[in-house]
Amino acid sequence: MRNRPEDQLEQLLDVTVKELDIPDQLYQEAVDNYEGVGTWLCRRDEDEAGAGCEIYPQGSFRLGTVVRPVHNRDEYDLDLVCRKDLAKESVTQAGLKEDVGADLAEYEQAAAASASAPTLKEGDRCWTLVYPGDRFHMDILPSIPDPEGAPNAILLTDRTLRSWQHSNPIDYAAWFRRRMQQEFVELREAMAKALRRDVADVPEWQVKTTLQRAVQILKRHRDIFFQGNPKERPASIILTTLAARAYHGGGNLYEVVADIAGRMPSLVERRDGVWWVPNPVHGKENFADRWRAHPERAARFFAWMEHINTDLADLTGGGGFDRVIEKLAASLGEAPVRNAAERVGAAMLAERAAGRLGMAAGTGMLGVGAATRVRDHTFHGDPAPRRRP
Amino acid sequence: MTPPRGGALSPAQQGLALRARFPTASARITRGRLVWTGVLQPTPLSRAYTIRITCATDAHPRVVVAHPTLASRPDEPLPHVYREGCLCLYEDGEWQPSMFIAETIVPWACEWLAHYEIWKATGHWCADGRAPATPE
Repeated sequence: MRNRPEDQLEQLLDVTVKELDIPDQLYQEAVDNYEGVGTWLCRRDEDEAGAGCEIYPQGSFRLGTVVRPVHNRDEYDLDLVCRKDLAKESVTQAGLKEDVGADLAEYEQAAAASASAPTLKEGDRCWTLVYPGDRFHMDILPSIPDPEGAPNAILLTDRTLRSWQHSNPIDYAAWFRRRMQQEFVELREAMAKALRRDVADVPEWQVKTTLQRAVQILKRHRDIFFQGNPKERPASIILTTLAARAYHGGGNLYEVVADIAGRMPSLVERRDGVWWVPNPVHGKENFADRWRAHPERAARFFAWMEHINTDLADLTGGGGFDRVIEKLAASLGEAPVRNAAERVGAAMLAERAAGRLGMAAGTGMLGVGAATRVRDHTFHGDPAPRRRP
Repeated sequence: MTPPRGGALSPAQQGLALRARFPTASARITRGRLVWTGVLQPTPLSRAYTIRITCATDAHPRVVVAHPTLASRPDEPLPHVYREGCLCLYEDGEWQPSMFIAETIVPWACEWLAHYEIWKATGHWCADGRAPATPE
């Protein structure tokens, strides 16, 4: 509908990302549920003066980069941190996990009567609340403040319950936001203007920058690419960190994602023979640390990056829009891309019905506002071939 | 050449209007019939299609895709084409011989091509304002 192949790709990708995002209603439900859990888990701590407690989302839910699971039967996986403000010396990992687990078991019982009552399950590092309807579950990671770290640094219980794991999801998310701050502010203002609302009334989670959408595309491509081998999937934190570092502002979504994917491999550092993706808010932490023990994972990561770069470049290779849709469907999944293409078609019909669709002289290129207005008409006949009237 | 009746445009008038918009396309009049052959690319990612439109005074124009050959989907015939392969672009009454082909038939053909490419990939024709009738 627009004049460059890149513009048309942006339109298709943009709608595809909307298909891959968590639906608004489900997002709202998840927020309501975790706030309910938070109130429950922290109710005692609030009675007692001093010791605080907080529940907050971390990872893709906090960053706005959630992607739909590849299989419809799989649920969205939302990570929550439960930070109990206890001194490190006063608690063992096993004790902390048990405490949070006991509280959650009480919550499970208290909520049992409600229609959306979750079921509690124990995982290696966390507790999981599985909500009915097979749509999402929440992993709740017990944690305490990190006395040696930054104010928002936390210690998480480890799989082995031996050494604490350092983490800082709040500062990481703030770093990610800073990377896209300018575009975020501009987009939010534009949305407010379009909706005739105050900027503050546009919820932050509804604003999606090209960085967030690019990360969603990268993650989805990875999920499809590593479908048969999910253990070798590069971690989302590695992708997200490299993408945010490679991003240099908004623009055409297709061009931004192609540019980011092109730069990402060179942003993986090599320090004394070790691959490094430093945590931007904790320089001593290497997100790629596991590649030391599993060098094949580094190789798989670089192979995947090469693949996605080829796939993205291929999209402008011509051969018809149908071929582009098919290529994108192979990369990002059949259903979301097919739905997106149908929406692109429906949008074209809507533009014509609104009297805005035109055709350019010389080429026949359709577009909003092009010279010759496409008059309303009905494609004759039903889907099967017919005789002429 | 038979003079046009009731406001119907003559093949020559249709040819002139087409030439104004598509100067590089070929518009010939043979035995009172206009034969227009032009290349249309409906969207930036679309193929370039060679389209042939033939029309006599007071008759419905016939529109065929000369190149490339239109492909159907497995077990699904092409939607919105007549048996002889012409494109079905409008319902009865939506086109009159007093209308310029360049302003109606050609943009509709472009739209048909754009929707054809989406249909080819998805199996769904997105430009039906109403539910499609049951195939014959």
